Amino acid sequence: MSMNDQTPTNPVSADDLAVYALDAHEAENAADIAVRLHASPGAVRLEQDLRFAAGEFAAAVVQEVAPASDLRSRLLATARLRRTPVEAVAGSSPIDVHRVELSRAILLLRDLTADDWARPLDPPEFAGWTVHDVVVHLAANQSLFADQLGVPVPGVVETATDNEGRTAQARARHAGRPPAHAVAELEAAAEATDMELMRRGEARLNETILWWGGRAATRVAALVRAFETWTHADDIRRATGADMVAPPPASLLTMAHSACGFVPIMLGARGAHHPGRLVRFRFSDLGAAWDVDLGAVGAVRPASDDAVDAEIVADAATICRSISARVEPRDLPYEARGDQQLAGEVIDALPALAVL
Amino acid sequence: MFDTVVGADASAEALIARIARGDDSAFAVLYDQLAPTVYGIVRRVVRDPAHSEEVTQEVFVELWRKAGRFDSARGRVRSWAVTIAHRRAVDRVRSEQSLRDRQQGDWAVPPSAPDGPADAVLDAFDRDRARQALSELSDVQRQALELVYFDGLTHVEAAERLDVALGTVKTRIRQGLIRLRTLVDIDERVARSG
Repeated sequence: MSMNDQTPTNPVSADDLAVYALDAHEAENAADIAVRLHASPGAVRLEQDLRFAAGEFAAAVVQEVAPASDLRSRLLATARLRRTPVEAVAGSSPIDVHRVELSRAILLLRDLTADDWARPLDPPEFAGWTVHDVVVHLAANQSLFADQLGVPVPGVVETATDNEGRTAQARARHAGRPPAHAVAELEAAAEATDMELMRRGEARLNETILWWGGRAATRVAALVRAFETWTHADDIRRATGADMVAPPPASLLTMAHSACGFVPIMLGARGAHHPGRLVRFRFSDLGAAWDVDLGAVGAVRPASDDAVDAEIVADAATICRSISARVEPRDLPYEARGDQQLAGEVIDALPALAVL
Repeated sequence: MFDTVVGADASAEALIARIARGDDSAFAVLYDQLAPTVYGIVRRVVRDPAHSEEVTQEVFVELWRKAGRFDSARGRVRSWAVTIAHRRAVDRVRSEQSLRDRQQGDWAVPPSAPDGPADAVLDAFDRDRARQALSELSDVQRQALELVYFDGLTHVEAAERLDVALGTVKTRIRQGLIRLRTLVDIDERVARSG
């Protein structure tokens, strides 16, 4: 019987869900439940929650036992043979990119100590700011996004609709308050915006909303929020002595693709115009390559066999960090083929749109 | 400055992002960090050392292959690794059991003596820490969870072992697991507030 022949599936009971999360069903029952779970996203989430809770618990209580010392070398040799690095072949939806980046940032904030919150940030535009200040900034912009999606965050009274004005209002209100208030507001705004984006769905991502004094497609606003959240989360990681962490490849693919579409605007902001010229970005960390038409915003297509004017080979995460002005173009490692001057202009223009 | 040398103290989340890009050195560091936990879980379920090493190797190969799909929004890398380890360990136990059942049916080979509670890994199990967390559960919930999680029994086998109805053991598992989920959440919050 094919899936299409099946009658509507019965929901999985909570008891069965828990048993399934512990891998305690017989194979045939487990397969049946797996099919039925597909029909219920809510049940899938609960099952994953329960499975991870069991994993957290087991990791905490089980005695660590060192395996045989030669297992390490055998494993590393096997792993190299078994897989070439996974290449992200499809980017995540902007809805998921937004959700994942906000979640990653909130998880990071939950781990900060009291000392961490007072640590200074290193980007020059944040001179005098602490980790607490940048989280207020994130919460301010996230609540602005919530406002523009029509789901305002209760308790947030700011009315400014520009990046810096909104942040100034929020910093004044949060002065003297504990950092937990800023985290709570960021979480509330993240939840409100995530839920609204999911409710609207993919079909409405091209609808425009008011955004920083103009109008922007919802997909762009969501990706900007994700991009900014990643950037400031890494600011916080540097401030607290942690390693920076790039987004998951599927998220990075979506962000890098979107960023490529803005290259003509970046060049324009630096007074450079190259209509009709093509630049190929080949991202070594993603295994992805796109041809960018410098004469049109958003004209990004998969790399072809056709000749381009210049090809830039670089790491997508580092390119993105340069776009957010966290890596100086002169410090960005890349390889250029073809028109070296054009490639250099593109690289130099990457931070042109970076804002606070 | 960015993504340079992998430190032994790098977070598992940072390592998994590097592994997704094919970074062998990050994979080696992740192995050093997680192997004792993964092997500990697998030994607890599978018991046989040689099989446990094979399963541990399978777990890490899966982590290597699926690093790009890790979703940090769903939990930590360590708990993700443990869920993979548990599933593969249970698969191995069931597979071995199935083989033994077939052998018994076909050739009437006498079953080998089951491992007793004096098993080395069971002895090494950190009872203090377990007792602290498990004390929040009722005895019947704890018993049911241990049988299916650490002993790898199916819920049918657990019901037979406990001599209770199938529905009863399923309900105990659900209640215990939901209680554990709450405890894990609370534990994380307490740890983070410290």
